[in-house]
Amino acid sequence: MAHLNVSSICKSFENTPVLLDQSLEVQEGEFVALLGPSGCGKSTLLQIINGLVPADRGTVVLDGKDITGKTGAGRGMVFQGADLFPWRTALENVAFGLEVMGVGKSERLKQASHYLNLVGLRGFENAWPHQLSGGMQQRVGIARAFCIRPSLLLMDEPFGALDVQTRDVLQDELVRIWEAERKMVLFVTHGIEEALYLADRILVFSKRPAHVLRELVVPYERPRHESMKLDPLFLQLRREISDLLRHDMNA
Amino acid sequence: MTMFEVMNRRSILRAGVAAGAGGLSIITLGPVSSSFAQAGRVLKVNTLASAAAVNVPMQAGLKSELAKIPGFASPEVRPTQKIPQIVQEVIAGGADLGDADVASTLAAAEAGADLKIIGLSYSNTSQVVVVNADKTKSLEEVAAKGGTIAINSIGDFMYVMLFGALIKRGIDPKKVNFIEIGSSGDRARALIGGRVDAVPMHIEQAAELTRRGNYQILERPWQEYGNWFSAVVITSGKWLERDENKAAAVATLKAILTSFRKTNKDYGWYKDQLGKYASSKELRAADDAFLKPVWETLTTEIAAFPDHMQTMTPDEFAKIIPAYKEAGALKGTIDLNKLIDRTYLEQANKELT
Amino acid sequence: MKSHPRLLNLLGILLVLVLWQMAGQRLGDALLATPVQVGRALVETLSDGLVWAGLWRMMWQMMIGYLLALGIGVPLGIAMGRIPSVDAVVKPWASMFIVVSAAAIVPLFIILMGRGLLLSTSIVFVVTVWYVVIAITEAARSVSPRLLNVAHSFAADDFKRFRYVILPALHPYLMIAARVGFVHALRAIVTAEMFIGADYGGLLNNAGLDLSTAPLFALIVILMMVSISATKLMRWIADYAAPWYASRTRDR
Ligand SMILES: Nc1ncnc2c1ncn2[C@@H]1O[C@H](COP(=O)(O)OP(=O)(O)OP(=O)(O)O)[C@@H](O)[C@H]1O
Ligand SMILES: [Mg+2]
Repeated sequence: MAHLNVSSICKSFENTPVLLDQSLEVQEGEFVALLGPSGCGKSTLLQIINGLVPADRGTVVLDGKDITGKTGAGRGMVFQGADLFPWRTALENVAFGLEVMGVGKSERLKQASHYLNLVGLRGFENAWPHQLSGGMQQRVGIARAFCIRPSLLLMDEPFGALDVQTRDVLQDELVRIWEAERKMVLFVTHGIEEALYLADRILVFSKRPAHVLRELVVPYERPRHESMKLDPLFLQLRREISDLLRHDMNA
Repeated sequence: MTMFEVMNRRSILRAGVAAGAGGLSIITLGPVSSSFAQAGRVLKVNTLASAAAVNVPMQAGLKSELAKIPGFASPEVRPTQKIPQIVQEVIAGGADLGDADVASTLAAAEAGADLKIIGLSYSNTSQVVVVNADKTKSLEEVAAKGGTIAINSIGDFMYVMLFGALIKRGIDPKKVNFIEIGSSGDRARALIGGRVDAVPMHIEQAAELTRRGNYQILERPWQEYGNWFSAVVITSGKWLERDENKAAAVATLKAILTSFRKTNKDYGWYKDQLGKYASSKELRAADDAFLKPVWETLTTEIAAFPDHMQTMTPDEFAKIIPAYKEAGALKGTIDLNKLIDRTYLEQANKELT
Repeated sequence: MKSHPRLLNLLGILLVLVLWQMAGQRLGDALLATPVQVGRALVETLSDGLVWAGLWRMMWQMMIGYLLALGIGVPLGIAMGRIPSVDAVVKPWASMFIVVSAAAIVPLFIILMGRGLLLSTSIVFVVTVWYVVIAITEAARSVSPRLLNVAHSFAADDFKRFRYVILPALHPYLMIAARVGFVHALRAIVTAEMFIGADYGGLLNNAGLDLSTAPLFALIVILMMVSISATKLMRWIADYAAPWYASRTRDR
């Protein structure tokens, strides 16, 4: 039974407290969005869960294993700028995680090619990253995270650098892929609409030091459709969250 | 195998340098002991990098004649671009013998270096001072307009010669700018380009230059000074302590003397040697019309290759010391009787008759 | 208007040659031999076995020092770029020695090491290695921390981060360091050989004695051709070994 349990995380950078005693849980197959003002500590929290940044205190338990301060092990990360390796082809980028794990060449390329197809990049196996558009690069980034079959997917504003149309397309793509392989997702975003459209649950964070202002279960069934963005309830939720964030900023 | 030898020598050299003066003998032993090959001893001789017409007899002596003497192979003749480096390497023991310029030899000896002059690379000098006669007629003129003279390096034998020549004419040498320009080819080019007013160069270069315009010889040092010594065969007193080195000194001088005598007697032989050992391609390929007058001047007017090196005496050298003192190149405290060692020359002459 | 870079290149070279020819005819061959005279001297020089032998001996002696400089300079540079304590120890020496030119150290080295292979190897090594070290240090230091983070988050340990991120990121700079190092190595060996009048340096000395500058220019042109073809060859190897970099720089 997949399950993420983050408890009592504290983190300061040079006497500036960023995270104070933060806890959260993600259930199997759950898509959780993290919303909050810039600089509040969302990325920091994600990095701590990913093991790249050490926490001052607290634990991260994934599938019953304490993974505090360790990287790898069941987590796949999608970075904001895709951050592909320029010296690897699209296919080799996707296969990177498996190569680090020591999976043999033919096996890892086979799997990578499966995920590259899944994100719609058949035929671009041998393209260099600089030959791909920003959207295509992020597809490779997503495929790279999926390819190691993590039980938890961490995404830090993965579509933040893309234009609106590309972002809309990729949101749908992400949901499609995720529905094929349901795993836990922690998705950091600044877009309230994006959070409502993608997530099962939204955590709205306060300004620094971050704490959860509100936890909101999105009352929509899947599969979701573009039309839900015009639903009165959707619009009302969007305004509520937006007011909450603005009120917190001025407090 | 060779790599190990090299490594070995380096460590010996290192140790020698680290040990300072006491280590000098180790350095000397290092290369010398490895210099005895089956075919005969290979001497290390540092010479001037460029061989002009006046240098060829000594080069020929080393490269053609020395190997004919039993016990000696053809020496390792090592051209050296920076003139003072020749003396330095002889002092450090890196070379057995050196074809050094008089100025750096005298200066090093006066500073206390353990040097001996045992022979002449050639007597006198073949360098003459050349000007563009369209622009300059005399040294007085050069001084009056604050002109420039290009030389190889401040303090060398040409500098001292010019300095003395200016003083003899009652000209203040400070009115002339001396600049250092490396090779005589570059100096000739500087004169052609009009960058300098007067330039010392070898007589054959002067002859070549006169074909290109109104260039004239303004100054012939031998007319001014009689015998203007410029290059000598040197080694260190330490090196001469060993008997086999004494024999090597005699053999080397025999080879050079033989070459001197052949040069004086036989123009054809000299021309042959020039074709082999001169540095300049133009000189190697020169024809008789050009070469014969050069040979005549060298052997008669300049008397550059005395059959017995008889000019190598402390008295003759004493005549040039005042000019060195005036130019500030020497203090004048040097003991020529200690510096000039005729023992090996006399032995060589005796063995040759 | 469509531009033909090849054609423009050729035109540029032609223009320089014409100007050179005109200047050479005015100044005379003692000051500036014309391209035609140099061309003739070049043919003559190239048909001289002595030149080939001298060039060959010089080049292989240089290669030993050069390869040593790369073999030691590259690992040292990487260590300096990635390990602050190594940088702290070596950096002061590197910035001191990098300004030392071959001409300044040759006389001392001759006295210390004689005139053999050891001399040329040491001179080339000492002059070249610091350029390699400094270039590689800078490159190693500026390896993208984001890409290192990506690798880290995929559980790559130190060794694998080195192998999968640092080394490939350094590749283009290695090639640049190799090219720049080659030019410095060549200059160093020529300087050293001119001091001791050996091989190619000796030929350069001798050519300098002739009144005509044509033979000297011919020897210099040969050196330039060696340097250009070597760097061209290395660029080609670099492109072959790192197509991603070649393709990226070509697209720009
Ligand atoms: N390595 C670091 N050293 C010092 N301070 C840091 C470091 N990383 C983050 N911070 C600080 O911690 C705070 C939280 O940063 P974080 O990147 O987590 O914010 P964020 O919520 O992701 O903001 P954004 O939405 O703009 O990405 C910020 O004030 C930032 O300046
Ligand atoms: Mg962030």
